[in-house]
Amino acid sequence: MTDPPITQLLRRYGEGDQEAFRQLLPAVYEELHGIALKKVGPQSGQTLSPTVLVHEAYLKLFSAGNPIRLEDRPHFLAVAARAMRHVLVDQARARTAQKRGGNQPFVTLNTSAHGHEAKSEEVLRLDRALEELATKDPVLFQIVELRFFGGLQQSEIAEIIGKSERTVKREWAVARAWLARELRADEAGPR
Amino acid sequence: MTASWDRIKEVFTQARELDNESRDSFLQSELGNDPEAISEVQSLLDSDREGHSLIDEPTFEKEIQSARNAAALNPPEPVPSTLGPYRIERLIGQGGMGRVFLATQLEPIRRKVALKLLNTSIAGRELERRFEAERQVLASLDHPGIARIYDGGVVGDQPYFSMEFVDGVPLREFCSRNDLDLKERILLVAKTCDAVQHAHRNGIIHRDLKPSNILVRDVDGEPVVKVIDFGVAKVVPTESTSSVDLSLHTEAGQLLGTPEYMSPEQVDPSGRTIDTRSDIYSLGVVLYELVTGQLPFARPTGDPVGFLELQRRILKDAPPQASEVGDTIQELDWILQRAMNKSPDDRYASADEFAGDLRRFLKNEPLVAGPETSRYRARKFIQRNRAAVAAAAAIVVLLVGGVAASSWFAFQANRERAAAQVRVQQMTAVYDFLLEDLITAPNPFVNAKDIRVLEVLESATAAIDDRDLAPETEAATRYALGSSLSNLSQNEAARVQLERALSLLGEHGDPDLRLDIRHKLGASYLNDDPEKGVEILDEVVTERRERNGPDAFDTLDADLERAQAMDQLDFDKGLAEMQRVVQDIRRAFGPEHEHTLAATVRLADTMGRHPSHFKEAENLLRETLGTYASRHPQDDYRLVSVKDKLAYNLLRQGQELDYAEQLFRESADSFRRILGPDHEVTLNASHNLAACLFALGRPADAEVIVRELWEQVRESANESLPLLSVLVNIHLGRDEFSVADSLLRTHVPDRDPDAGDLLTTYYARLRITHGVVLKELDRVDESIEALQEGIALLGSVHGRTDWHVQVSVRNLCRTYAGVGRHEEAFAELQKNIDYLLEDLGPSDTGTQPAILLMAELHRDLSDWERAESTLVRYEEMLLETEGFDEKILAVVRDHLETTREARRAASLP
Repeated sequence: MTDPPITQLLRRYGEGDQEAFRQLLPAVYEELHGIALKKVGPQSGQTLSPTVLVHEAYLKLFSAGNPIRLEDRPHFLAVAARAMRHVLVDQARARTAQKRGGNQPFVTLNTSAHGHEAKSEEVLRLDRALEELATKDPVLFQIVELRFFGGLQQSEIAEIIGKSERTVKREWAVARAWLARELRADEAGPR
Repeated sequence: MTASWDRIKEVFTQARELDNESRDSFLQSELGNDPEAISEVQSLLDSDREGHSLIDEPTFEKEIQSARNAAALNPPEPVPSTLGPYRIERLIGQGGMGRVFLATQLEPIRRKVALKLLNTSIAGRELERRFEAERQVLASLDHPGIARIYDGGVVGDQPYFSMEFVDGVPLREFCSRNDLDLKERILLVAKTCDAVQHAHRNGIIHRDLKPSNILVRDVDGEPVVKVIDFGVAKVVPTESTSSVDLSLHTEAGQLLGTPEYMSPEQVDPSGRTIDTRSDIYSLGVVLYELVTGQLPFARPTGDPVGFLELQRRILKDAPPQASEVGDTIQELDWILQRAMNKSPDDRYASADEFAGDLRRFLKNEPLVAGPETSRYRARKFIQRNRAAVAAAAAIVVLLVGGVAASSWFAFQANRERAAAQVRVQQMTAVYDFLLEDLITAPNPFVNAKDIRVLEVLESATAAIDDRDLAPETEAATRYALGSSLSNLSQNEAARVQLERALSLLGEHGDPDLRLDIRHKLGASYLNDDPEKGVEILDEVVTERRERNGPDAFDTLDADLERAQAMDQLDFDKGLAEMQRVVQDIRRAFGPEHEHTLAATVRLADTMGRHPSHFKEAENLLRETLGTYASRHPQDDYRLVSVKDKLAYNLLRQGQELDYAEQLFRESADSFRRILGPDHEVTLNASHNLAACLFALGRPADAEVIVRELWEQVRESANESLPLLSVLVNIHLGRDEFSVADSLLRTHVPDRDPDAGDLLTTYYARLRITHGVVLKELDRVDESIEALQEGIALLGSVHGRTDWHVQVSVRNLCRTYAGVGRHEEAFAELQKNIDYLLEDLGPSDTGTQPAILLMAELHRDLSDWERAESTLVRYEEMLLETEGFDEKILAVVRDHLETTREARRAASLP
């Protein structure tokens, strides 16, 4: 009996196999997306709150079925961050589509009882800005992604991208300023 | 731009470290030859300063972090060996925020403590706030069932607090280890409720109650309960905690807890507000687990997560009955259903109430909780049929209240206790019957959209026969039904029930119940056969006086009823009687007693039937309004309905219309809140408000209200009637008779013979209005038909000498005369004059206009002889009447003079 595919791929990725990352992503995405779809299918008229999705996803990915070695954890978190972003963005797209024209009843996303509202519009705006950043500066993009969608600490990010914590901190400052500017421009109107 | 992105980043990073003044020169020196690059860096610096909420307050970053923590992805922190005065012994617990250690405090006193340390590796300001909040929460509680806090603070950069070390065992283990029986387990949950109640009373919701947070310790053979871990507690405002820290929220803390014990509102993604009743639910789950040995909703075996499935089940599914799962009894099911109800409103209102039921259960006493099914079904039914059920429920309460009051009298009279108990049993049977058959019967009403009370009662009547009731119980039930029918003016049907109830009871049946029934029976004759009504009520009053005394409310109530029946026969005499009875009630109970006020309002209602008493009625209503207003909240039904009555009275008198407008507005608003916007009483108040605005000469304001309401209710035949009449009047005011006619033809439904008094009144008034419209359109035959129908209906509700009826009769007679049908006019008018003389006598402002019209019609035909003799005879009648109204006489003499002059003028060549 071999290891489950995610664990195998993770191990290869941890050993420096970049191809494994590309294969890992769809596997993790499928896993996350599966959770989102299975629990609240598109026909249910409900959307999954990020809170629930995130908890469910992490618990699922890190459950006994996917034993992850301590040293593989940062890499896995990188993959999970990417997959998480895709799932959230896809969900947000589906929701705004519903809101605009579909006849699905729109259910707001807010789930946490204390007002951390994750609005689909916001997810999409952030993603648009991130896409642009990805072409301009892939490293900045990765830092933001890991931080926002992976919930990673600076030290973990540094380990993943192979740079010092100080560099991560500096690069983050640039990314933050750049994103803030782009988001503000996006608010001013589509270019 | 020649500078590369990397170069821009570099300059930005360096410039960022500088203060504002030196930035410009720095940029110049670095990128002096590249203005584009300077402005790029400049704009990045600007947005660096401004930031953006999406980045600085990212929506899911925190959630993702907490999820990772939940997934235990953080490496364990090293355990310190000492902290300040504490020597750390071992880890005893681990939570979302930090870890709890058993520690020994070395000074100032040596003792064992539980030391809670904040997990600094993941702690942000938010976690620190929560940690501090938990300390505050514990410090505000002082209860033997809650672990006490000793000390707290920060050593180095390590926040901590120490609290009472509970050398106990988690609840579940304690039960199994000591092999506790059902009663002992229930008692432990009751004790937990006591501690939780203390927290709730101090405005603190625990939010993570579960067996592992409830420690039990044996103290001298007595198990003592301690509730621990207020780490995700929430503080809500109470009277005693004025400075409320609402930031004591947990971030994703709820989800870090144990979802199996969470209430539906806790797991609900739509984020409902969580209050103390959420803890009641969790305590319910704890009880369920302790008595059945399993969780009500467990995750599938082998699935370590499945939160979403669990969430769905907590939100939607009913847990398996405890009595089916474990070896318990049904009453425990009721308690669990109450505690674990999906709707917080249907749970125990407090932990005390929950504990109370548990202790009652242990002592085999009746519970607050009852079988859920009928309660649940009743609620559902009520939601669907709000108006009808509100009325039915009011009746039920009245009836049950009435029967209960009688049993109280029974005690008072020191009669046999057994008899009183029979009464209570009857009451219970009646209540059950009404509740089950009237309110919760599954068929045929449950799916009916707009069910009427009457239909419910009719079905209930049929249902009695199917029940095998003891004669006394059946009598009580039929009495309840008969009363309800009588309240709905279904007098004949009511009498059938009441008579049967009497014969079931027999001569030797409970005399009080017999009197109650005969009271209602007499009242049912009020309109149909007042003489018979008075006769029956006379006997009831006499017997009640003997049994209960002259000042007993039952006696006086029947007396008031009797007076009201009398005024159907002789208004003045009846009114005088009513005034006397109201005085008696006032004397017996005091001027401000509810009985007195209610009777006064009834008296004012009766007075309001005749213009000559409008002023007296007004004064009574003002007085009552004052008392009610000082005593009841704004939306109290009694207060609101007196406001409405006073406003209507003023409107009819045409006095203080500004005040009337204000009263109508207030009462309409209150009715809207109490009864709903579609209720006929609400609509009636709005309608009257519009009428008032008309009277104030503000037709435009009136029209706004009317059109709004009309749009709201036009589809609903019955509810639209009051508004229709105003709308029609708006068109009448503009001489738009065809429009009015078409509105009336389109929107007046066929008459519903079962409609209540109010709707019948509107229907009748609309028919009369239609008669007026048709007359204007020269469609006289149709006009007469409409007027006749309207008058007959209005008379059937308000009596043949009602003011509005009489106005309409005179209108009808004028219509007859207008097309030369004088014989019919005279016949109709004479008939009414006879009624008026009989009911009101000659000296009444109601009688006078009819007689003057009679003279006028004769005069129009130049029948001077009859015109004059009509007036002369009336003058004689007046003079023969004791205490006649001088003003009426003066008007009659004036008319007589005019007639004689006209006669003289006509006889001149």
